[in-house]
Amino acid sequence: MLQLVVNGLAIGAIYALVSCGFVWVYNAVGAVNFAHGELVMVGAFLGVSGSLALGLPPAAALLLAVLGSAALGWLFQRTAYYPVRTRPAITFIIVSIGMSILLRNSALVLWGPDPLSLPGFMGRTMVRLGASSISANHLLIIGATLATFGLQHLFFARTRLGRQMEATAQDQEAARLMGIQVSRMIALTFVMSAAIAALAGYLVVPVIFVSADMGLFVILKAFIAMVIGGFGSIPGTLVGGIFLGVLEVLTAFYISSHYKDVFAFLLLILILLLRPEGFFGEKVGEKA
Amino acid sequence: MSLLEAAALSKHFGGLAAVDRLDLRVEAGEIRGLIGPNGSGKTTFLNLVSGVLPPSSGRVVFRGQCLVGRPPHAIARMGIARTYQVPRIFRGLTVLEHVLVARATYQPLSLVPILLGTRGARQEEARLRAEAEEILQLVRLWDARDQPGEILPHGLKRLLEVGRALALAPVLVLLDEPAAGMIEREVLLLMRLIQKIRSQGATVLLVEHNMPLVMSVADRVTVLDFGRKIAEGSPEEVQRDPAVLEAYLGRGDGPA
Amino acid sequence: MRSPRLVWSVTAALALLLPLPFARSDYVLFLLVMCANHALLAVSLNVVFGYLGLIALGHAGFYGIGAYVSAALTMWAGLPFALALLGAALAAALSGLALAIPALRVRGHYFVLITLGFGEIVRLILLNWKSVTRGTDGVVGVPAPAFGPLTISSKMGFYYLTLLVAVLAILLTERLRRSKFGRALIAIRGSEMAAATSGVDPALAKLLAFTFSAWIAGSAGSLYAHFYTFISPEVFTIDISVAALLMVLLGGAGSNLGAVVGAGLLTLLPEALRFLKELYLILYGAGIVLVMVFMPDGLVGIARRLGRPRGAVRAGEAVP
Repeated sequence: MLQLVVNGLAIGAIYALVSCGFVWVYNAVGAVNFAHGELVMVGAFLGVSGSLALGLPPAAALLLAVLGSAALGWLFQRTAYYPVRTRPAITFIIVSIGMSILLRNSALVLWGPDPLSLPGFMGRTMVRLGASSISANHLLIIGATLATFGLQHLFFARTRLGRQMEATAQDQEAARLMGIQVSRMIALTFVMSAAIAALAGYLVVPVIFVSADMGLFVILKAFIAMVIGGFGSIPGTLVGGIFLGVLEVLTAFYISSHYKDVFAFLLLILILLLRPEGFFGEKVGEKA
Repeated sequence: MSLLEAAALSKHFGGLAAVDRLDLRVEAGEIRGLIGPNGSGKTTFLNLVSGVLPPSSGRVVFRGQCLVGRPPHAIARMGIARTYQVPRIFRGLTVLEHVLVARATYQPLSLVPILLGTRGARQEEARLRAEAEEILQLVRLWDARDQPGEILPHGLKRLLEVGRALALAPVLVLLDEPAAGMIEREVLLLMRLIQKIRSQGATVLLVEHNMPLVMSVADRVTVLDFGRKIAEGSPEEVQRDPAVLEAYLGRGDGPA
Repeated sequence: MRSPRLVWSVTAALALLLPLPFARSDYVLFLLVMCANHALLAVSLNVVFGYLGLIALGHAGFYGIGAYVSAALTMWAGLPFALALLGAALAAALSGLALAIPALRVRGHYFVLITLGFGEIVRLILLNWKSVTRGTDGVVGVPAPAFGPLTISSKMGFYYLTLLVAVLAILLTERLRRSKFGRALIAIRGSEMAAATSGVDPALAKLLAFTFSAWIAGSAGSLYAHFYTFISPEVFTIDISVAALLMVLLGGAGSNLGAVVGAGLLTLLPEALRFLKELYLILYGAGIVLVMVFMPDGLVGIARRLGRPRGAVRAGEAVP
């Protein structure tokens, strides 16, 4: 049972990390980035290639994944966001769908169709906790996620740059009047979002297989986590992600692993019907 | 009983009170001016009445029925029509179609005869068109009836919004700065139009910055500042009121 | 597009004559049937995406429900094809209605993700409910449509059957668009708030549009099942939902003619570009980006701009 819960916590932590980067971009540009799942996938592949092809130690492979994805994030906002930034949000959404197809199929050409896996930082080490033994990788994932959430909170609350980004996300026009370079802040948001996606991608490698088409699965989960936590809320993604992860592992164990995604989706519908603002969120109805 | 009655009506955005415990009555058949400096809560008040925003507290009562909690379309069907400060044009619809949107009623089952193309559906459509054309003549947009709404010049877009509001056959018309961006000739047309709306039995609540227009057309004027009523009375009384002068002069966008 | 009636007549005549020169090529006829089938799907999506301006990525779900229900009704219940077609469309419409109720409560971007999730769930159910759907093995031997003694088994016959259904669907969709409900949908796309204060109930209008759209997508699914005779979950994936969206975009959102042209192009293009192999899908993704950036009004928008005399570009149209 404890093992099961830790397993769920680890998966939930990944969902939370993915969801967090997704929400940053949503708050900054007012539209969902459909290619976010593919950014996770590219990060995972970069990390795996770093380990397998280049023989890097795990920390160096992670650094490669994060830096490579950050560069991709910059390129992404330059090609997919910047040209359509003055158009309605729907335009960026469709462009990002196009980018997700582009990235997915590029990955298919580069890395092939076979799913890859890695033992991860901790290999197969198990930690004994009372009567159960728990994978050290899972504990690492949970720890890294909590640390990342803590760091990003400090960044946005305490640093000048973080506060400028926050101001941009809240009101671009006001931020511009305050002398903030809005397009640079948005570019940075995309870069950070891609970097955290790569972190999530690399951490998830020991838990699920990495494949070119994992993006869709990942983004749906991030979305459900965000709805549970509350639209646009960063603490909400942490709570929502972990809730979803634990719920999934438990339904897979006690009910059916084939239908765990169906349950996750039904949960989403239930929340939208009963408590559309989630646990922490703003109203989701159409704004005036 | 007043036609429209707001009692202790408030709307807060974060810590800021855009409308602050406002009591306001509009009597049937009058043209009421609603003025005040920028940010004094005029548009927010219209949003609360039309159901676009829910109030934080207080009540709005229209013909004895409380409006709070009703969706905007239901309030529109009760006879409250409005225009917007920034014209909300339906891109992709012609001028005539804009008026038709507000003229029609939407019972779900009426879709069936429409899809079957029955004679009844065609007759209803013809009747709606005839009525809409009449309204377009009233707002002097009949010549432009088949043009896309989005290509109209700014002043005509505002007239189109007035036409769309009139298509509801309203009891109360809320006009949000209808004269902004209008040229002289259009303002005169608007003035005559407002008087005509009243002469046909509707009540008008006019939010406006164009003081000559308000002062010449309104029966009574209410002045808001910081979401509160600071003066109310005939145009002459209001213009002499020291509190009004203070509110405007204090921020330098006076009633010229 | 000064005389839509003329354009439609020419298109219909073209569609009627199109297969005749290829009567001997099974391959070309197959592609033409798929063009007509996809046109039906694109017209369906156009109601939600073109009229309402909502990105819906779950139409694979309606398409799949239509296909499986139609197969079940003919193979297990022994119903004639015509009834199965109606039943399939009805089942899809009901699922559209059921999905619309929660989905329409949220803002546009979230609507996209919910519809996407719906499509995925339908696929997962088709994949895992093995006792009914036979999972990955799929359903084999969906019968050819029969109307009494008349059985449609040739590709040519199937082309005209699909064309007939498509023409009916387009006729109904155009009627919807020209009616008060169609105007209400465009009004909601323009400004939901102003539509509501003009007396339109946005939730109701969206619900009707979504149900109508799902109904057409369901008939497309039914026709697909009886044409292909074999259906499996891998046909009804996000890929077909995205393809339908791109068909509408490429043709020009809001235009049924555009949807038909877009469907034709995107069905034939992958065949013509087969030599590119896996590069095709990369270019396809890049193509979506380029279409959105450089021709947001699609081919119909370009045709409209070319069709107008020089210098007659009017104010307001330069605005993106």
